[in-house]
Amino acid sequence: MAGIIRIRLMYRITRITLADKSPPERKTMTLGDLCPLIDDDTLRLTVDLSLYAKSALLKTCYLFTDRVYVYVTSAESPRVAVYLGRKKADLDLSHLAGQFLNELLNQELRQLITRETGLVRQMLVAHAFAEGVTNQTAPAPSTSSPDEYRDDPLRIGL
Amino acid sequence: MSFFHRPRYFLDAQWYSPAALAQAMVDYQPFCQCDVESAEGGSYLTVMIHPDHAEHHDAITGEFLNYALGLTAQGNR
Repeated sequence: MAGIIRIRLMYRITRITLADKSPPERKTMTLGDLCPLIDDDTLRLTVDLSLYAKSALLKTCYLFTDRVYVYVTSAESPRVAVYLGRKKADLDLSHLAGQFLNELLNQELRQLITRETGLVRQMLVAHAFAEGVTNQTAPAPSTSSPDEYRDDPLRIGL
Repeated sequence: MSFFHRPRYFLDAQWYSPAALAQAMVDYQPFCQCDVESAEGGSYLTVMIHPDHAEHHDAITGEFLNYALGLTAQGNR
């Protein structure tokens, strides 16, 4: 009997102890934490190449060269550091970082879709061209007389 | 000092191809003189802006890097 009471007591104490424990504090990551400013005009982005293709990153960088100066360099493998320096003082770099990451995802997705549907697209194009070749017929011989252009049924020449 | 004000950059060969770099150096000759020193995995680029364009130092360096990256992206390997 004493054993059962002791077990119940232990169970209650454990429950109370667990209930008292507050959930661990979670630090909210912001885009600014991921893409810190290294000076007033430059932002540093880290891209994981195990998630994004190198060609997708290269295309994204190229697309942004009209707004920022881009410098790419390898960081700890498989990561790459991308430095974006603003060309105009009024450009919001944190907003641009978000756009850059979205575009990177877009480029990656384009490549994925190309891989998945590339063969179908190639077949469709080949089929369309093949139809164009087989449907070609010799031009019909002209039945009009050489002087037909002189006719003016609407009397435009008057 | 801005990041693009630095005179020396390490250019990774997988992002900046030697052919693209050579082309960029030729095309940017009116604005800057560049020196390339080979290193493992890439090269060190030293940019010397012509005194006439000194006030546009960051812009010239940045545009040079953009141009070299663009040439690499376009397949100038």
